[in-house]
Amino acid sequence: MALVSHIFDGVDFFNDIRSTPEWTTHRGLFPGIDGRKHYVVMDAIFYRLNIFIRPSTSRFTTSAIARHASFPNSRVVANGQFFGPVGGGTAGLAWINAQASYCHNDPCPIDWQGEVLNSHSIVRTGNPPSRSRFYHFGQFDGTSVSAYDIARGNPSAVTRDSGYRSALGTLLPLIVGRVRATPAQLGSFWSAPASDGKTCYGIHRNSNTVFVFVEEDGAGSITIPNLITLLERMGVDEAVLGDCGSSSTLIFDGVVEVTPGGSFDRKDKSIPDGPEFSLTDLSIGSRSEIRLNVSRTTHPRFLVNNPSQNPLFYSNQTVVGFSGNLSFQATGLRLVINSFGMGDDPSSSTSGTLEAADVLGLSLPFTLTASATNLANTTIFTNGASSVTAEASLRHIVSNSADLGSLEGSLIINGTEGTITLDINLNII
Amino acid sequence: MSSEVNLAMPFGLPAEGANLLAHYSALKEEVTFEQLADNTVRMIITDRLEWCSIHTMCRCMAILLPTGSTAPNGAVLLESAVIIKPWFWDFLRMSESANGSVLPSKILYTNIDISMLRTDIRNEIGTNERYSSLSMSEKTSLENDFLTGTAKLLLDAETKIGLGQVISSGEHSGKRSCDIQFYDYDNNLMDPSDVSEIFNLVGGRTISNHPYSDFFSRVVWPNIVPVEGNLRFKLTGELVFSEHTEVSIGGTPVHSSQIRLSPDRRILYGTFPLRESTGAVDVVVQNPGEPAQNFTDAVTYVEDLVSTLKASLISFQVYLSEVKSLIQDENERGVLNPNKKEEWSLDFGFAKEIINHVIYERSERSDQSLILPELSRIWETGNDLISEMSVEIKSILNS
Repeated sequence: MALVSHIFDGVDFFNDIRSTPEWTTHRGLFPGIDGRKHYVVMDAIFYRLNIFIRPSTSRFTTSAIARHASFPNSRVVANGQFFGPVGGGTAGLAWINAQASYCHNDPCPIDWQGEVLNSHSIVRTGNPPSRSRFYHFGQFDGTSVSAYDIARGNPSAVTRDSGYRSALGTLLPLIVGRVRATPAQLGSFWSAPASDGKTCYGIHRNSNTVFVFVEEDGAGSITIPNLITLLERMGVDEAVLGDCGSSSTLIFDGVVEVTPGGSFDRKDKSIPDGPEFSLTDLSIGSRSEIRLNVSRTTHPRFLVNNPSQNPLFYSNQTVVGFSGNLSFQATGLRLVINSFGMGDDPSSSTSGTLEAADVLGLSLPFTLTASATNLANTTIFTNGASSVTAEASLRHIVSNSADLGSLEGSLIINGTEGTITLDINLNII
Repeated sequence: MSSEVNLAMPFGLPAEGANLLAHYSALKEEVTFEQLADNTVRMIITDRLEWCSIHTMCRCMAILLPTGSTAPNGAVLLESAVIIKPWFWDFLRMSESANGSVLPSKILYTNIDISMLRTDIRNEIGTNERYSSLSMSEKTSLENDFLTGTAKLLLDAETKIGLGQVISSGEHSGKRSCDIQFYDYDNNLMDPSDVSEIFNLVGGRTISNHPYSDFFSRVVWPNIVPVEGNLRFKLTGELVFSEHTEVSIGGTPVHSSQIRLSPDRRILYGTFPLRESTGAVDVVVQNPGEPAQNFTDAVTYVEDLVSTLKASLISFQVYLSEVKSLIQDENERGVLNPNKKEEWSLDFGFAKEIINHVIYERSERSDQSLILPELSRIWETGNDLISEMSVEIKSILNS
């Protein structure tokens, strides 16, 4: 799908962009273009970072397109950090290496500088292997902006939350912790003409979004200092610069929107890696809990002191084993519940055999949808014909295990016999 | 930059349309320089108007300091002198290309032939549109007021302000001599080489290749470099280089593949080798068939981040000058084909990265933060010049 013309500016840009129809139809992202500025803003809850590695015998854009063809949820790929050997040598070998840093004929293996992490591990040793004064962009085992971070140093040095699952090192800062980078930190890039290509990744925490911003080399419209000012004005919390100039590349849904430069497609044959953002469903883990909120229940079957009915809930018991899936559809969010959990059936000698859905009078799989899509706020889910609604919001979803956090809220069932309110604490994995 | 800030050397300016290389080559034979212990520049010039007229070096406010008045450094003037203050906006623009260096806030001309100064000031007031609304008597009054030190004049760069005084005896008898002093904002006398480098960065037809620039330019520029090396430098002076010129810095040869020559072969560009220790080192230049020239302590290796940033900024500007002159030359010779353009694009992109690489490397090794405001100020001073030169280079490469 083509990029949507939309101004990339304004204090409320990131929050407003979430309310556009395109945000929903594109399933939690907005692919925009503002003159020469190309960008994609993504819901940090549903888009996961992976570092895309170019197969050494393929071009970067070709392999990214092939990746999308085989895995359509791979929506956005941009070029990554600086690559090619630099520095060292008694004779200032860096300058000699200029020719050796690119593939001039066929695509070939090229080293990136510093670190690249996928699945919590350094993918392979960079050249140089460490760039500890540069910055990195990464995602922990989690989702939402809480799981994304930008900071100084090699990404492997970050150990909190089990370390980054995926991360890209050797980046230059633009804004870190809402503080603009200095000219000295950006050096020659600070002084680069507006027309130069540029690639930027960033985090806007208030709107729970991450974004990629790319301008094509020779067709750029903004200098780096002015880009920083623009991002500051838009309330961006963190942003970094990847390799710029003719390396700048953006592929969206398998279409090359910003083409890498250089004669003989030199850059396309050489760019070794880049951030890839994939639309990812959230699974509801077995450690989810639902609990009858007795004080809010008017359903006669669940009233306290009525033990003859509904043994799962009458004394504030919790059932476990909730399972399901939360996904971003072209019409909004969809929560599919495959099980409400299993509890003990007093009439049975076997424990954990009573499906809570049966007690609640619901058939499985049970589907709830929401047209509002910001899980950081309270989102109302409804279930078509039946009088079931859920209010839920996602809370703190970085954790030390494979758990990503919890979708917390309440599930309200309006039956003929009254209203049942269940507190839900869905374990997101 | 050069189109907006007009700087000039203080004498021997070429006529419009003159062959610059021929002019400056001839001028070189007509002048000798001395740098006095207090950093005063003494110019001794053959007494012919085309060589020895003294000029303002920038757009400025000029005032005459009568005999007995005080120079900025507190010295009592034994003769009348002219002091100029760079025009504020030009001063600002100049600061953008000064790599964090101190700029001259005043330039003092002494040993001026006052009778010729009157002639030039009269000519200026009589012909400059700026004074066209004045009556003859008002112009005369202004001329007199200037020459008594009671009126200031706004003068453009290259305005004639008299001649040096005739030397009456000694080996330079019959020639004219004029002294110039450069003062910083705190009225300290500046090293003329520092000033010359600023002027060279701005450049222009009345600066590049002028004997004054050559004399006061440092042999190696930048003359500081972080121990990691890797920065581009230029080598100038009374030298003509060849493809076989060998250069060593601190005893380490500059790799031959790193050496490039300017089209006129008067500038050699190279890449600093790394060095394990700090301190001043010699630069040795060996042209084939000629005695080696040793420039003592011409380069200082440093470890501190402030010096590294200054060196990086200057080096990047040197690099941009290098590339600009070479691609312009190739363009004029019709050999800048797509393959060559691609090579230059490659070179250019890599240069940008190297600069940052050196800065970050030094930051990492010295464990010094890049967030210091002082560092930002240094880079900001050169920002516009780098940006404009980059645009010029890219426009040629993309044409």
